[in-house]
Amino acid sequence: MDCSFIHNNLFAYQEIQLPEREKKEFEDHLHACEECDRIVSDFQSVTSFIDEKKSAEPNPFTRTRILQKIESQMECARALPNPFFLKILHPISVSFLLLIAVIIGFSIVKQGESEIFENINHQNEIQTMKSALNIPDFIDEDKTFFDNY
Amino acid sequence: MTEQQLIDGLIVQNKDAIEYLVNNYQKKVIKTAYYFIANMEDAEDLSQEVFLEIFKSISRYKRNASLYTWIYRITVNKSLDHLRRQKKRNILQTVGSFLRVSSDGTKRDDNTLTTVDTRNEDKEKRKILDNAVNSLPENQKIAFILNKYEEMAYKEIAEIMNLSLSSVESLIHRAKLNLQKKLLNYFSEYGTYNK
Repeated sequence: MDCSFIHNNLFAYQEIQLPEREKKEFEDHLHACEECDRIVSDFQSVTSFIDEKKSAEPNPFTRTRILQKIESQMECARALPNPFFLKILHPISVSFLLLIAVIIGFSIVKQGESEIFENINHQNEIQTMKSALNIPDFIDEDKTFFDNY
Repeated sequence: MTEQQLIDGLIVQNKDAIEYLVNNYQKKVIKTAYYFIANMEDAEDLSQEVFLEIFKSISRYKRNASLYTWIYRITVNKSLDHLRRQKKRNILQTVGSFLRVSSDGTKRDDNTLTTVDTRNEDKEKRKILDNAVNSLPENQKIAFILNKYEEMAYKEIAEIMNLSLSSVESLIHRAKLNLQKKLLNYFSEYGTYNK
């Protein structure tokens, strides 16, 4: 029996699942090999904490905390409106908000259009007044000078 | 109270049913969570989440598995979620401490990356075991914990994990092989205790 058999059967040995003959060979090897003996005892001392963990007991007051938490959750649920009511109220409120958004959008567009028309009318009026008073259009003298040059 | 009466009572939020559920299952739920997350206080906090989940989703409980199995499934899932969150937090903390030490210009101590407390041997051994179990693939970890810690039969584990009996046997076998390997690696890397 070599060391690799020991390394691969640590659980089997600990759980007393090795056949009698293999178990004896396993133990004979441990007597002969110091390194494997050390590994087996380390393995057993580490895995013994599985049993220690199993014996841990929870805090007895946790039960009260759990019940309080459930109680407060139930109160919160009671404070909320009826889910059926919410199911109807939700789409209605969303539709209402959408409608308001559309109306606001339309009114902004309309206002913009009337401002543009007003601006055009204003320009036309200025042009009519200019031609009535014989005021020439503005001439960019610098531009004319450089063009001539 | 029969299981059916308990379920019906929980659906209509009957106080007696809620108390019966908590009285009968809280210890099992806390202990299962503790086997996974290795911290009793966290396990107790997590048990509150488990009971709230049971309470919230009892109306959706399909009776193709026993209530006990269903509660175990919720507990295992919540515990695994907790471990995932914890893992993310640990990565961020490790990166943070690594960056802090690097920016100080001091030499990084390799022990800061291991979660082993060398001052206390027992604490260290517990940590080695928990780390080794936690580093197993998720399904192997669940099967191993339910078998070794909860002492559940393969059939029960198969029911909780929704797997065949042979799959559970294979998962537990592989979990043990992996654990042996991880512990051996640890012993060869950091030395042994019984020198």
